[in-house]
Amino acid sequence: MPTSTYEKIATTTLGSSSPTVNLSSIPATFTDLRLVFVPLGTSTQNMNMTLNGDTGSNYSFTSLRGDGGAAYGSTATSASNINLTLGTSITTTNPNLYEIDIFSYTSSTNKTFLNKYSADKSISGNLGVMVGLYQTASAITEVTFTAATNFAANTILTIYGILKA
Amino acid sequence: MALLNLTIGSFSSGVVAATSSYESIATSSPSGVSTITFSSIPATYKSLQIRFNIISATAGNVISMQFNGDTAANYRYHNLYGFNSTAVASAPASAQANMRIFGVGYGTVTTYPNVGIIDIIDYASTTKNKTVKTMSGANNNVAAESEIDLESGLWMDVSAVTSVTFFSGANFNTGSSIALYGIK
Repeated sequence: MPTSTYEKIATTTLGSSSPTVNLSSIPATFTDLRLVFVPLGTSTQNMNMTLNGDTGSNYSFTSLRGDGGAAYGSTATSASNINLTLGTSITTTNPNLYEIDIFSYTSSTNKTFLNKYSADKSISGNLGVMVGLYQTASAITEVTFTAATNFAANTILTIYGILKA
Repeated sequence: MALLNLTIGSFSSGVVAATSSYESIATSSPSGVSTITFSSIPATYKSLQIRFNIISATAGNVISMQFNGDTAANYRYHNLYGFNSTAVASAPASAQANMRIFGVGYGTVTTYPNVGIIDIIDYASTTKNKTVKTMSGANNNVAAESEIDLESGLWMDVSAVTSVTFFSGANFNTGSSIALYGIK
């Protein structure tokens, strides 16, 4: 039987509102991670991502996004988290979709990730891609998404592991 | 493996076996070279995916790709990229001798990873030109040196892809990894 190279590590679905969604104790047995995050909010609000519980100025990100009328680029350096609601927000009824690939998450070098997201609402909409950096020599063992107020029930986070030969 | 696996049930035994539809074909960890080639790629998959994480020896370089050793002007590509707080679209005016997969704005950064995911669709077809989709980027905590790229690519050749060559204007340093996967 071929070796599986794309495996689900863990998933969590909120049963009630919570200010954070977190998965910890991520095993070091894969090469890359893919996070699939589908958030809802208890109200229209922003949210962000941190790794390993680190809220120091260790993040930077560069994004490309478009709404119904234009394309935009933006960048942030020495940030204390990754802002995942650039030009958009999480809402109560229309879930956003984030697919975040973290490369070589156990390496002893800095960690780079790619994020692509969809955030269509009933009238407005936004989609985008992002490259982000987390400056650390530590393996990533924990992922946390934090809402400005609260994520709503049925917010889902799933983590997959990808192996190389 | 909820996204990519196929579950097969056996009526005779009642045992459910899972088999992978996303398989590792080969991985290279280059160091001190600027070119690597995956050759003898089997035709047993529907698509190929390449994930790269490259530590570049010098900054400002382009990373490119060629198929089957073809160095003629048989490649086209278009870019949409975010760089230094701007959004830009671009493409070369004529067919090229390779396909750019990263580095439209500033190009490679040093010390920090340059990463990307490349999908090569229907690579084993012998009747169609080959379409490629790439998402790549690099960030070194310097706004004017970090970029996120989306690229569409075309290899104007109906041959099955049996080899893929990566190359850059700078050597790949220790810590670099380029992994080739097959998707059924």
